[in-house]
Amino acid sequence: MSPGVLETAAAVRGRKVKAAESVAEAIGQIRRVDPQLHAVSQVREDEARRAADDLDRRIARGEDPGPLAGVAFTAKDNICTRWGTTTAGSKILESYRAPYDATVVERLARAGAICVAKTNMDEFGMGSSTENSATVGPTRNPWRTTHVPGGSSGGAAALAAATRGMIHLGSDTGGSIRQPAACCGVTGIKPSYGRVSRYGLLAFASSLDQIGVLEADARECAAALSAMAGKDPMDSTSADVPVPDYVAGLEKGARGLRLGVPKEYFPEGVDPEVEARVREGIDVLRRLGVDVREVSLPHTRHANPTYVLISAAEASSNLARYDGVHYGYRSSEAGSVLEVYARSRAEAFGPEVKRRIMVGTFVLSAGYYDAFYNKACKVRKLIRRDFEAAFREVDAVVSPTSPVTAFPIGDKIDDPLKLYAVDVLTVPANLATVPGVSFPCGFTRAGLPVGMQLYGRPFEDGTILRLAHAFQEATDHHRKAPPVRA
Amino acid sequence: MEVTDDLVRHVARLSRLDISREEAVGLKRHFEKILAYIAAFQALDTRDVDPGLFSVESQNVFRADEPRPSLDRAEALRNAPQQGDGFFVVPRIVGAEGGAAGGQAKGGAGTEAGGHEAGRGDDPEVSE
Repeated sequence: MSPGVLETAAAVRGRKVKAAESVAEAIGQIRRVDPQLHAVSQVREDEARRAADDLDRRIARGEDPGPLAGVAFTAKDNICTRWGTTTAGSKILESYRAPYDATVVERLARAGAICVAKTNMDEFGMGSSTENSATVGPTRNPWRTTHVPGGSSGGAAALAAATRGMIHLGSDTGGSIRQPAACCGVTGIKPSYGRVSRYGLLAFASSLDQIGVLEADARECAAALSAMAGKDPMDSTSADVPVPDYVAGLEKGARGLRLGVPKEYFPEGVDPEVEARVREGIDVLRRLGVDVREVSLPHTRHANPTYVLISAAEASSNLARYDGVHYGYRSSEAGSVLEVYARSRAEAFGPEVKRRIMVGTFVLSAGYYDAFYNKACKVRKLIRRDFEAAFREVDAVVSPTSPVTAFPIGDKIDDPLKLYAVDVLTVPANLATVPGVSFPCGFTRAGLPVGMQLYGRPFEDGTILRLAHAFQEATDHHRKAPPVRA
Repeated sequence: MEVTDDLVRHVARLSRLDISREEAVGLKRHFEKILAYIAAFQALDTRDVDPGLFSVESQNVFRADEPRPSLDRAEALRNAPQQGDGFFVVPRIVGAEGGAAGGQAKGGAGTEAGGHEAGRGDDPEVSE
């Protein structure tokens, strides 16, 4: 079995393994599993090898190659990289080549990591199944290839489950890291809003979007987050809050932390097997000395409708830039500038993207703004207050990540509302700007992974990673390998 | 509220989406479902809640008003579907009959640089 992220970095730093070998091994893993998974949109062969050779020469000269030396990483296809294309899974950006690297890409590279691939996603992050990809088509779940990997970071999640020793960058606007992590049995963190720079992330909903990672365990998430987090002058919403060493922080353990179980997070519609596994997971934490108590987040049931409106409103504004003029697809049928806009967009956006743009434009339009958008912003405030109150009593909150496990491809794609319902337990983190981590807490009888989610206070990402790490030291769900495995 | 065909067409125009008749039918149904979905939260009492504009409390940040290097012109134009003489090329806006005439003139006369801003300012009702 291939070594993990921290072991790879230690081996390369210690000159036991060359970065070139590590990168070749990572690309080999991707090549072995991708024909069954359709998880990547591009693999970076020659440039990655050159970057690795470069790093090896620096190591040979005695330079410090960085904490993640020689670790391969992948970027979701909505994260800008100077190499290759950045398509966001959309036909409208099919041939778009970003003129710069996203800050996270730059920071991982500075830490010695090397980008080897771009991963598949739902178009512009709009979806929970990675079936809405107009570039690669549906990605498949390594646990059962007839099933979805979740989404929208489904390519990253499938690779995180089927390979070892890489960092997989994802983005999360309403659960797009955590829900696929749950579906694929891996650990995924959506950091606090402002913890990680969004510069170079193609915007979906700017007040909710956050970049994070999908990994084998909480320790790998901690290592990646330590390298990525922190203030960036290129993103004014990135926060000037000190970045701790998240890996070292894991050693503090879980004993004595207070964990809230919100009764509203086990609503009707949660699969009984999912609920059973999560409750067993809570018992594990209790046995580790965590003080478990009930809390209430009364506005939870309004979170998803609030999310649907706010995210659509922001998307309609953010996606106005795709106009067939500056970059991307242009219709050949357009005679006027207005037709350039309207036809290019109509021909190149997928159906779900159009639905969200339409709903967003509607709730922002004259006559409807107050009743819909403004109302949604007010309800978001109430949801935030729920969390502020809960976090005066407890250090973290626990819930299932998703009400259901991975579902068959094609099962929900014809009914958008059915698909939106999958997000009901993950959207509150984005609305409240709090960090959330999902990790496997067991399996259903059918053999599909179940994810458990922890929420923490803003900028206390380390606390939920500590809890997840303690859980993973006591269990082995995260070590189980799916049938499709490199 | 009732979702009418006119409302869907109006929103599509504002969205700069040239949707087909078939798509309009589907979108109308989708709007109805969304309105039903959000009905419960609409009944919520939020009279005393300030909506807030930003997701995090933040203060405006100023920087010195000094020129800094930015994307060079060739790089910025590299992804444009049509370009010429260092500009983005779009169909003629000024002097075009009703905004609908005029082909895709390339470069020189008939080219409107910065068409994005000019186009966005247009009232769709007027220019169609």
